Amino acid sequence: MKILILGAGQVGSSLAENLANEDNDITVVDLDGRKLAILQDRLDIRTVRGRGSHPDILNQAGCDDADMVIAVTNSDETNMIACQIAYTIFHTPVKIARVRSNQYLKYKQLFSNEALPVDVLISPEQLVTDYIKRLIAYPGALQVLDFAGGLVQLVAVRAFRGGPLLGHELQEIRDHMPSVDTRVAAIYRKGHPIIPTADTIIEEHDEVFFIVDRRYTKKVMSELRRVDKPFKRIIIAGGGNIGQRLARALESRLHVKIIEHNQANARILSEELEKTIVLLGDASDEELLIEEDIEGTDVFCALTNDDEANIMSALLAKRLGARKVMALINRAAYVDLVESGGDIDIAISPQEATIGSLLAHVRRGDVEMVHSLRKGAAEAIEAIAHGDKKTSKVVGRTIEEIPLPPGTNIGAIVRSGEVIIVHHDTMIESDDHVILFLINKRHISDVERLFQVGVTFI
Amino acid sequence: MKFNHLIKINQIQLNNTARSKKKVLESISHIVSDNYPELSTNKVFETLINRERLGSTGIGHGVALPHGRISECTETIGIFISLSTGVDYDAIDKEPVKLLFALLVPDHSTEEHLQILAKLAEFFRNEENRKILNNATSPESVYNTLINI
Repeated sequence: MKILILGAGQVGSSLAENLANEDNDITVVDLDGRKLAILQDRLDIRTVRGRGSHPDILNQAGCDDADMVIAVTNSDETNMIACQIAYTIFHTPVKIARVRSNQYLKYKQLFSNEALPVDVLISPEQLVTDYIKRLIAYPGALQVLDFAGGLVQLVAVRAFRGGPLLGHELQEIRDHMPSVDTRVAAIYRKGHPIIPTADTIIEEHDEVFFIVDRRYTKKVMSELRRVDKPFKRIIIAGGGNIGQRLARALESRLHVKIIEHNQANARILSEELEKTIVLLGDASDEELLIEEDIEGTDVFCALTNDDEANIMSALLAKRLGARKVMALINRAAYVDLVESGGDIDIAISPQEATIGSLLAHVRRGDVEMVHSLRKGAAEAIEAIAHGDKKTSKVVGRTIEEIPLPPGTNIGAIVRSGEVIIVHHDTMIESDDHVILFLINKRHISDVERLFQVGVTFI
Repeated sequence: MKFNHLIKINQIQLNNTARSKKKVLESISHIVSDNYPELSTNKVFETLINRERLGSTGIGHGVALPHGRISECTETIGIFISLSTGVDYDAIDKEPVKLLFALLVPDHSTEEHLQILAKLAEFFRNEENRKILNNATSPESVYNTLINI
């Protein structure tokens, strides 16, 4: 696919990196020649220096031949105008824009071909906020990802002593929970993937990914580890876009405190948030944390835009007795460091939380949702099956008849709103939403091919 | 259905200079709306693009059969385009595409349309046929070849 990325910031760069590896033809446009040079050194892409909303620049970047424009500059206005120009002048089939400001987002009627022709809006801050919200709703989960509008979840947990399933074969799950159906999609043991089979035995410290009907997520988690008490008290470090959204989302149910070091911002926060306690100060101030009862805090989320500050304050909070600590970390190398260190419970990579919603539009076939996992090495996707036995390679076939690439399995299907955890004899029907887990993303093109309809599909 | 019902001379274009899949489908959409003003370029383009999303219509050997259903369409419409240089079409064999036969059908597609597609696929599988179309110098000669499918 020919893809134009406007903006070589964090989102644009990580997107370029992800897509350039996948047999796509990528051009990145940015005003800053230095940023482009750095990207071009590493990646096989084309770059154009200039303003992404200017028609001549878009033309120079090959917009006329592009299948997709992804406008992720740091300006909402540039992004929206770029989509308008792509639509009016170049008839670009798919136009994606990052729009941050709620001032625009709250007027849905703005975004249509008659007004602002943006096909897909993305708000990385909202995606990251939702991601953290789900982690807070499921204490003990390392990742909780939604499919089919939230009907199905893919959950990662570390198996710990006290989980009844430890030391047992996967096929015994059914005996443990006769009324709950789930499927283990993958197990990572000491960082290496294991393709689960019926006789795989779950060991302590295994990172287990399972797919389940959302109604049973907690039940399955409780089989793998001692149940964590629900989170009640949360301290958020950093009252930026994400911190504020998270506080607003949680303040009605949890006891939320937010630490902000900028006085003016702190004032705005205290006006905009209703029940949240806004504290003016530094999140790595030991005395402040102790004063605010860090020991009695269930979860500490460091969400400033400074990686180092987030890591340090999260480490400090953990040392001072916070039950769980999470840190927002942009730099991939830091995510690795922090995860191998083990003192910070969860490192949240905004890129990983954002990239999936973009990948869903790049994948061939009718793909509804993509979640990038394990730093892009693995992927979970929701694809819609179309056609009939003749035109589709999946419809009208049972799971065991579908030639899935190695390390790939189908966990569940959603059929007219009903979640079905699949077994070897489950038959796929047209319009089923099929949820797959790929341990190795290298096989993604095989999966894409499986879900593409044959030429005689009209 | 005979092929002379669905293709006319001015629905044939040779040596189109498009350099991408997107651009070829746009060219096809223009030819359609030039000949059938009730069908807008945008609508046709959108229809063809949406169908490609579900699976490429590149059948291999440099041939693609883009198609789709359009509610405003009252008859089956065929368009033939050949390109001066092949374009990346995400085809089954990854070969660049040079010959395209597009088909637009009314909303209620029938068994007959499936047969047309099947016939086209069979016709283009034949190397001799591809050679004739690749070497054709006038829309008339292409027309005479196509109506005999």
